[in-house]
Amino acid sequence: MKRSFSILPGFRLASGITLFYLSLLVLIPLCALVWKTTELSLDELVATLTNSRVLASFRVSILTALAAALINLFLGFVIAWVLVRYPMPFKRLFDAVIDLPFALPTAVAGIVLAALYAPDGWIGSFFTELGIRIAYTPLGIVVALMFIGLPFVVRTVEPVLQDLDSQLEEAAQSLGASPWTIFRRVLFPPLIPALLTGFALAFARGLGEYGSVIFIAGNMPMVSEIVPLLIITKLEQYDYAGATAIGLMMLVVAFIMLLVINMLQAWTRKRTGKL
Amino acid sequence: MSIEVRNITKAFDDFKALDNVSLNVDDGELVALLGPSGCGKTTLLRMIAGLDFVDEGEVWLNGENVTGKHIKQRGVGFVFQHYALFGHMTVFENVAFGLRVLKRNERPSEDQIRKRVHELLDLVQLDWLSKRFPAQLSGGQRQRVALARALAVEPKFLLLDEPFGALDANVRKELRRWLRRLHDELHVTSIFVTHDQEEAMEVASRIVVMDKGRIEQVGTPEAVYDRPASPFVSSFIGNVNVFHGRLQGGSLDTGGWQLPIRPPGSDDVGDDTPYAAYIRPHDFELLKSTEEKLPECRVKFIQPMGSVYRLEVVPEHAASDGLPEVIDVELPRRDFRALNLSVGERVYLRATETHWFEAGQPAVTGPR
Repeated sequence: MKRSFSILPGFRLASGITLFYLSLLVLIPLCALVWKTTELSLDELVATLTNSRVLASFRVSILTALAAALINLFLGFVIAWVLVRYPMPFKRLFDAVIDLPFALPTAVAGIVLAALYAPDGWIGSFFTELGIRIAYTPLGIVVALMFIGLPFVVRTVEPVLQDLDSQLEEAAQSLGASPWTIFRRVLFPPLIPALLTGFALAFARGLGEYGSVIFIAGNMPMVSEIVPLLIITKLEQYDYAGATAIGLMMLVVAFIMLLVINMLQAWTRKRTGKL
Repeated sequence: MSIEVRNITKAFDDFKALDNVSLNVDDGELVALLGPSGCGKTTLLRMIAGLDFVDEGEVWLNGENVTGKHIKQRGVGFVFQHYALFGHMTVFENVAFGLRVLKRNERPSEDQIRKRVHELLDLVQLDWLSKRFPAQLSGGQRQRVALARALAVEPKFLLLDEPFGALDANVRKELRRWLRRLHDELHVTSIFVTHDQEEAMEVASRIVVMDKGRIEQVGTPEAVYDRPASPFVSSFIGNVNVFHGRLQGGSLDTGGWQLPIRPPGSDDVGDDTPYAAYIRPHDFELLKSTEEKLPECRVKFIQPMGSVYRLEVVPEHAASDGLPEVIDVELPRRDFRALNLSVGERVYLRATETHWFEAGQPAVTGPR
């Protein structure tokens, strides 16, 4: 699309509302965050952020969010694929179930998951026999984040998959391609941008998730303590500046990650001539 | 490389899309499947391609029964109305696709693929766009790429589903001629589907007219236009004025309004036999005065259309269900000028050629 003058009226009003709303909701709170951090001197800031417990919590948060988003990327894709492409009974029911993690209070999800995956829980006991502990380890965090992040991938990929022209497949068939080749070379590439978006959303959500994680994580410092929890801990100790410093760091990490994913998307779009 | 369809029937739920359809296409022909939407023409094409499968009947390609075979094994190239190009691949990669997916031992080398693709893109005159993506091309260009892609695997048959349906009128005309020339060069047995009778007449060597899941007529463009086998064909191919009436002496009586024409060879047909006369707008003559007993009309509307003038005339002294409300007449520019008609004038109507149908069945076609 080339830039052109809009013939629709109301640009000033609409952009005014947009700017005002974004400022009120996003920019001002974020600025407050930065401003609060300036209460710390640079040395204090560095000391807070390089604290080994803080660093460990960052490692836990980023790695678990990444792992959960990757698993969701794969499974969400499979689920969307099945929901769109195959007739099956109770399809609408399944479709509605996908959205439950959106609606459920995260604490409820956390408690349920913790109970199920606890070493003596229904599912946890099964894994205990295999020698795998899920609840109260980083693995438990991944499980909680998988639950929370699943709808993002399914819901972003589903519409794109629905819009895929069935004639593309027929054209590929007429040219002699095998089903696997058709999937790999014709159907999958157009889905990549949607998959990346779903991945980014699931990852971002996982990075900030608090409610469902704290019940299943065990919250052992250095091992299964996530960044949001650490922030809460600092707040409870009235260390507001320290909490905001960590929060700011978190923001920077999230921003960089999302930026990278956005750039990836732009690159895939460019490769398909849609820019 | 002939195509033969034997007694095909296909239903989608309750809807009978094809009803006992048989068709032969000879080697090197370019045949049009023509009909209104929903007549089953696309379904028939997809059956031949192997994109859909028949309920009953058989499809034979080049003397081989391929009824149960997959499209991959039929050696057909298929071109879709909406191009179905792979959006994430360049024009070059789109055309190369069919070669790249060949099994390793059959696949040409990279150099051969490049050579072949550029040849094909030259053939469709688009080599200069080989690095573009489909989204950056015009509709006409996309369809030519789609054609090059279908030709890359050297199909024995080329099947085109409304190939120009999504294009502008001008581009459509140009591509029509181009397809005709391409077929003359390649001689691939081809079938294309269209709902545009002009397109079918211009491109095809034979036309298959379809309606409601059946084949109404198969013939050269000339034959289906001049000797329509059914009222449907007559009115679908070109415009036509329909007169329903009964034979009465030397005329067709439409109920108080006589057209002084009779089906040829109908001398032993008794009076009061119901007939329908289908007369094309250009098969009328208008006279300002006459000695003959011709029906009277009044000129209601005159529209210059370039080489012809289109007139609407209204039958006078008539109130009958068998008559069209207005009769469409087309006069060559020269004749119109010579007559010097104006709106409201009285004229006499003479039919020079008529298609006759008896009670909806084909009867006789001929002058007068």
